[in-house]
Amino acid sequence: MIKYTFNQISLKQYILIIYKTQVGIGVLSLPRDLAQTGGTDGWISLLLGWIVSILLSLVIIKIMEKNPEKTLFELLSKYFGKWVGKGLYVLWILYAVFAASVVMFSTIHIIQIWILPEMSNFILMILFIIPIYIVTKHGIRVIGLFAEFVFLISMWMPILLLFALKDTHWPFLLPIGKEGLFPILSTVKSTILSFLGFELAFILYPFLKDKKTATKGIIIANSLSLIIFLMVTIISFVRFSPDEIKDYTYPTLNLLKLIKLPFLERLEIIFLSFYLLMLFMTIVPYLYAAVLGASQLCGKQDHRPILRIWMCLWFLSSFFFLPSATQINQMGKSWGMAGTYFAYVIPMLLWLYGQLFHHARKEQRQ
Amino acid sequence: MKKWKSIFLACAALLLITGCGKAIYIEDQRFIIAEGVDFDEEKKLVIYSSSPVFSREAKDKFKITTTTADTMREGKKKIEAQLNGSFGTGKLQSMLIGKKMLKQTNVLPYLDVFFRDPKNEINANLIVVDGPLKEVMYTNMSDKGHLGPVIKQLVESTYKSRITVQTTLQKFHQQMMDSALTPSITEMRVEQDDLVISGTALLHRDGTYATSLNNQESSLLLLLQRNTNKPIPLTLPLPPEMFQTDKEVSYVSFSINKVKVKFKSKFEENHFIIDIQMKVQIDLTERMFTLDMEKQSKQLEQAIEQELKKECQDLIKKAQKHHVSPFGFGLYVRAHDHKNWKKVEGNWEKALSEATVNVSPKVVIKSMGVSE
Repeated sequence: MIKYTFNQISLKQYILIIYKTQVGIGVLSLPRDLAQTGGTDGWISLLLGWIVSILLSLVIIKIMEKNPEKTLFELLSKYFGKWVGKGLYVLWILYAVFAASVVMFSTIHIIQIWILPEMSNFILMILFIIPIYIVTKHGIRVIGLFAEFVFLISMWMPILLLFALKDTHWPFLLPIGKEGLFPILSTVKSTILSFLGFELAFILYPFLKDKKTATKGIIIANSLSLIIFLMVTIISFVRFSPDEIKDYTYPTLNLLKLIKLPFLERLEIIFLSFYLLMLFMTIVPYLYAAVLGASQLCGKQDHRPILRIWMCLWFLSSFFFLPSATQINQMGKSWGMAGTYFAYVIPMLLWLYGQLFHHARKEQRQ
Repeated sequence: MKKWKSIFLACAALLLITGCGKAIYIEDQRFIIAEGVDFDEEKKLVIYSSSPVFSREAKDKFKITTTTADTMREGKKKIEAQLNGSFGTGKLQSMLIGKKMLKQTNVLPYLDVFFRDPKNEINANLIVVDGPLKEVMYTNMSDKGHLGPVIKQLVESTYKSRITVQTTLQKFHQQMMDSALTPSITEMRVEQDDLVISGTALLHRDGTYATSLNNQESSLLLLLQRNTNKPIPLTLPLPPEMFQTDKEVSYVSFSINKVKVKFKSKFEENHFIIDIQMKVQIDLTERMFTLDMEKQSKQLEQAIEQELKKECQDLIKKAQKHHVSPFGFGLYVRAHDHKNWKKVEGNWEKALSEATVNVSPKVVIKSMGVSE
């Protein structure tokens, strides 16, 4: 029996959902995070981070393959029994909600400092909640369509960045591996936040129409993200000196500030307005994962009531929770930490456990 | 019916989009095109600003305001009090800094507002003013136009003709931050009621003024920085006895089109030895003495080589004397000789001032021009 016949996504949508979730808030500060620990070798760490995230993605797919037609919730219950499984699932939901909230508040913060300094939090929150609610309400199919739409509408953005390739100094990148291996390895940690998003494969897998393509899809998604990350990082490194880049909070936006078009000033405003859609596309999948999880936990088919409740909570919180720049930074860091566990450590453990579990089952049968 | 409903809704939504904010009329706007800052006697900032006037009734086409303040941001507030209309700093094209201020302090902290507040423009050109800033701001503009655009055009055209550098605020920020490079900034002064780009000002690592280069030295600076996107025109005096001419006509002019640089550095006995081999392709544009080009072109190449070498060496010696490194040699050493760079990191200017730098240009005349 296929549970989600009317709610399937194609491979293209599956790729784009993961890719667009990965390319979000992280890209704006990525060059600085890399430069801080890795210097100009940061881009090598990016490659390593990509390999690690692909490996972990494959692990996730392997786990899900063993139990086709099962959602993460059913899978956890099967492995760990009803109560422990539920407990673990709650943790996962909390993680997804946390991720969505971090991106949401960071988005508001960035829009406030770069475009609308006088706008209050709750107005932006209302404005952002409306499209997010409309997209998330309809479930995974519409999210898939939205991902395609965002992809199409943001195609010009990487090309625009090439305009910043003026007054560059390529020797900034040399020598490669100047400080040895250790800084490169330790910088891989900083790439985690950017690559987060592939763990949504846990949720997306049951919806995928052709499950055999899941592996291929997730590799493509990770690689697409890598291309964007590498491009942004290398352009920032050769345009700003490695010492200067540490001085900017969002180097990617500073890069845009340098582009001078004869008919337009403050390009970053236009860029950010379109980029909002990309940020929504990071918020929506996490939000959907959380809301879907919560409704499964309650044993309900319809995820909308919980979504509405959560939207109200977000809206109310925007009145009294006004995070400062440091808090936003802190939240991003904790998300990175949580992500390390939920996207890297837990899948590994789950996979190992699954191997043992299935092995034990087989022996029992014999 | 349903189709019409959705079209109607879409139109209604589109109408609302234009409704964000009210219309802004350019007559009510004030854009700061050029801004200048200097110290007064008590080390307070004197800030000048030039903004165009769009009003039809006004007779002058631009207005200069001046105020004293402790910081740039405070200065903006005080300027706002003097100007009618709402106020925008995002159009800034030139940022002028008085030499007096540069001699006393590091200006980067004073410019912090440009890098912190995203509303400010960081592509504005930075210019050092030799002499009182007031003179520049109040030069007679009746035969030129608005002060702001004039300065911008002047800097850009002189950079194009390669007699000064062009340093934007962002570039300056980068040069200050980078440990392998010291800043070099366009220098301007007033001569007989005219704005003149007099060359390039070099700053120390700590951001204070070190020395100035004239136009010829600035061209060589661009050559040594390998900034050869555009041809660099040079005029060199040659020894008159070499080609049996008089001293008055013993000059040759050419433009450098292509430069290939081989850069080598060694670290011996606690000091750097830097070898720079340049392959310079030149087009002859002026030769005031007679010469048999077929026989003597080799000799001419050698003469130019020697003179070019001498002038480059002199420029480098000047930089060494003042402990500055505007050439970016440090970038090379860092990129290609990282082990030795590590030894002097954080103290590159001193290491460079003690280093032996050999410049050996190899000149090839590509074109003689259209006359024999």
